[in-house]
Amino acid sequence: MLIKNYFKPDTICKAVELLNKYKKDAEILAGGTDLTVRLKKEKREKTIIDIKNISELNQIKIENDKYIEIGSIVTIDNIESYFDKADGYKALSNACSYLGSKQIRNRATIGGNICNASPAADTIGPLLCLDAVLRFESIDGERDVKIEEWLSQCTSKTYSKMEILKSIMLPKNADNKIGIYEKYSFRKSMELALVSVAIVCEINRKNKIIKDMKIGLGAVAPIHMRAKNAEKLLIGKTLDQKSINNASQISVKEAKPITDFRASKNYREIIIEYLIKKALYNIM
Amino acid sequence: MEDTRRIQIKINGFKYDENVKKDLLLIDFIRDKLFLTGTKKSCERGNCGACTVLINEKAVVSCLIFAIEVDKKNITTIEGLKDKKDKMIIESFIECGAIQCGFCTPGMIMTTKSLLDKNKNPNEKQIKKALEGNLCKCTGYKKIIDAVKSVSEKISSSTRKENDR
Repeated sequence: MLIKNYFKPDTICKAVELLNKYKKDAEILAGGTDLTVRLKKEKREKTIIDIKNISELNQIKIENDKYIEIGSIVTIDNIESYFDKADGYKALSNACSYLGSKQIRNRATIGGNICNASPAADTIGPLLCLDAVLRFESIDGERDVKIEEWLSQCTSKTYSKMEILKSIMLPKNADNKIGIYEKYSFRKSMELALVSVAIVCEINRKNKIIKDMKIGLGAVAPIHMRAKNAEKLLIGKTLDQKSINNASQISVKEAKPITDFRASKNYREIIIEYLIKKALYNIM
Repeated sequence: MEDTRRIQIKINGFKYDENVKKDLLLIDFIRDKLFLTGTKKSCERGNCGACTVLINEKAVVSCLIFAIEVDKKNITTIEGLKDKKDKMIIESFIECGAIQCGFCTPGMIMTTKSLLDKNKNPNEKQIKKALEGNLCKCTGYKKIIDAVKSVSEKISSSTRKENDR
């Protein structure tokens, strides 16, 4: 019996109370595309808190024209279509289109992708470049944390996990930017990224001078990271072959890829350089 | 807490009211409780698409969903494909030789139906993208893609004829 208890609360408060009651015995169930695979494999009895009935988590709202607030259980498929416009948020839409398959995207949620926190997760790179802020709810109330900070927190041994992701806030400053997501994997779909590159940038279309540049790398370090040295190199410069070559080489040095059964460190470094060039050339 | 729950699910238009174990997967509910064995069980990890069904018209893999999660929802399986357009999809798969062992076929057809319900005239790239979650070990995919192209052309032209009348 994989499921000891199953609850389907209709408010976030009730969900948080349940989490606080069952603690490490509890699992938060949204789309199930990560959790259910794991439950079947581990074969341990768990208390399931199914949050799909909490309607406030399944909306996308625009707050005072300052923030876009994305509920944590909005599906990857819905995120893909909502942000499918030619602006900075397109990086998030593109990333969603590369996640799994249509069947998976119809169930998987943005909150699940974030909280599962795989170093290869597709949505995290774009969210890092869009300055996403995560809003959590726990028995102590609500807390907001920048995604960059949370990525360090959740991988630390002292992180207690007794909170539920409510929503993701995106500053509404990417409307006149360009967003792109490139994913390198051995197969064209249903595959984890070997390297992923998310870019959200602002560039003067006439003289190609870069006003702002954010580069998010996935699967090349224990957590997603910004290639900050490459960004500094590019801001204020013209986007051309020279600056693209420099930026891609610097990014390789900033990243920390490893050798494992999927690929060697050397191969990953080659792919990082290639993907950054590909992304920047596409923008140019 | 007891091991079972009572759920009410609509499948292919029929309402079922059953007592199920809490960890009964939707695929097992469909196949073992209701004997609707058209939906196939294969990888059990959401990778192969053989277990594809529609929930509120969206294609999903039923091996990663617990039956209790879809209490009060509407589900369509391959056995529920009854209308003219659905039958044209099945006929096209047969005519184009898109079926060899047939194991992937129900899943392929459910995903195809979901695609054509939203996009009447997909191009080859869109068809491949839509079917990326359905694996076939026999056909090499070419005839499956041809079958989808062929039926989308037939559906588009029969819709035009209806509109012209």
